[in-house]
Amino acid sequence: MTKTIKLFLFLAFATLSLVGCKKDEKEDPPKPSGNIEVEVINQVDGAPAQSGVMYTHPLGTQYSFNLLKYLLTNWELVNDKGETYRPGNYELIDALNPATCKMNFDSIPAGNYTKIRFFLGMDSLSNYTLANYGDLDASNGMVWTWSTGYIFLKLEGEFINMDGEETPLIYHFGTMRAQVRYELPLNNLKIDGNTRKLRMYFNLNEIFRNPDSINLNEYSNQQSFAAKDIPWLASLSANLLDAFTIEIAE
Amino acid sequence: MTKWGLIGCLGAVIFLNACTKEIESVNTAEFASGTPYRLEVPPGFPKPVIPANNPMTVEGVALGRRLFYDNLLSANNTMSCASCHLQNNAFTDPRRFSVGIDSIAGRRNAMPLFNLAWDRHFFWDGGSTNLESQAIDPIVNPIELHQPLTEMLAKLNAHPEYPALFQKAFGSSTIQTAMVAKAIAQFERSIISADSKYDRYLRGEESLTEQEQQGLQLYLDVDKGDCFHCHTMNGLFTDYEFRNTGLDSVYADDGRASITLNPDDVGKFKTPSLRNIALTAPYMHDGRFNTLMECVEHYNSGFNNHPNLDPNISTKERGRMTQAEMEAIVAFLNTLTDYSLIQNPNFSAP
Repeated sequence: MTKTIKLFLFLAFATLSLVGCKKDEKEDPPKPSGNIEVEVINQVDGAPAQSGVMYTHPLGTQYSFNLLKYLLTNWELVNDKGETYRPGNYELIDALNPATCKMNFDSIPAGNYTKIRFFLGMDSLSNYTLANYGDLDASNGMVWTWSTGYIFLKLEGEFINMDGEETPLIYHFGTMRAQVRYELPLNNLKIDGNTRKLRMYFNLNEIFRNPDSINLNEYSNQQSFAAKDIPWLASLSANLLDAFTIEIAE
Repeated sequence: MTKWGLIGCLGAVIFLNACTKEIESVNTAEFASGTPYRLEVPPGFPKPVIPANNPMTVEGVALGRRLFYDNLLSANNTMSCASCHLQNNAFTDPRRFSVGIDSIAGRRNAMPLFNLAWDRHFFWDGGSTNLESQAIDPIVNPIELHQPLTEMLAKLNAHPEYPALFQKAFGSSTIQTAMVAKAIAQFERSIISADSKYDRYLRGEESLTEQEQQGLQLYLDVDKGDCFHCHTMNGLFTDYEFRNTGLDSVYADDGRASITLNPDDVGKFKTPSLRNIALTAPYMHDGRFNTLMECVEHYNSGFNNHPNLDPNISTKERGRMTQAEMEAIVAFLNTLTDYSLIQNPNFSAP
């Protein structure tokens, strides 16, 4: 290959690269990228979320859980210029497994980030198949195999019903009726070759209140595939919107 | 290196830093390896749909075939996919309802497996949207192989041979569920059926009898059989839609509606292919009919009224066909049998 052709190829590649990324990367030359560590803290109105502990539902009902898992996907960071960066993580959070409650976003381009966006659950494209790896492996118990799709949030436990009896509580929340998208503010999270830490709080009681009050006596076994699940899916989708809060730790 | 060369490299670095992270992640990174497998598309067939994230390879198809026939996929190592999908029956079960490892019977007739590279939905209710995802259900289903995926992965990863086979097919010896599903799907897509008497007739290699010819005409006659509206004449003999064929006036099994929750879908089931239909008795989603004659008679006069009854049926006059005409349609349906499918050694137990 002659020097001229080599030069041409390098130039062509460089041009294509810049054109292809114009939307996301205008920094030139690039500043050092950084990392973000996120700790997810699962709570029930401020108390640590633990298996088997009795909590008070917003309507006063006593309940406990022995399984709480959810999927956080489609992460997007927005900087002060309105540019977005997608770390690409699909994260399965298991409230009873602390190792899953730490997420790492690596090689974040330098900048001042003002917003963070994510989905609870999957988007319609990625929900189309179960043949995914890692946190999305079907063996993690977050799929429906008879009707292809991911369970976005799985809560299992029991509650004391109106007659004072221990009653099973089963919430398997998902399907395309159940999309929950978040955009939370970040107070100028500066990334410049450093590692920043965020704390993200999930309050389980928020799924039962605001705007819709969810009575466990009425909705105790909800698995997203019955007519009775349709209003429940809409209420939970709305209630979940304020279940997460985020703060900069370091 | 020249100045321009350096700038080119810098461009490449920016490209990799800024762009690849957009689409790549630990969870969705693809594992692919092996020799491309050439899927022979029969003449007259539409273009098959092979998912971009599961290209067929020689190694993947071979691995899928081995898994399909391996009892290791069941919790007690007694059954495999092939236990209920028998090659001799065009990969369906001659029993009305298959029986799983815990001796529990299902409630629907097993579906045959061929020409799946053209299929769009899986299961009678279309609950599964792709072949890879479909393959997972029978493994875990309590009334089928009843094996938790974590146990399946533990068995496969501890196996003396499988990790090396997955390495060859997917470039990783650490086996994940998606790889198992993809390998089985690859094998299933390799099962092509296109050599029936009717195919040879279309190719000018064989002629139909007078009765078979008459059956073909009745199949296409909108006032008689009118089979072709749903069992499309494109080599596949199905339109892949969901239809209520008036099997019942009240359905015990909601069919498509159990997936969509739409009342208009109650009693709708996937249109099965009529190819190899003589091999796949019993018939209908619940295997209620034992013979093809019973099926044809159902469409001739036996269909029930239902709000969702397909217009192709509800508009028809009951008893419009004579016994001889129905026999001719059955004679034609018998020309759709592909005996090479059930004898092909590439599809049998390895």
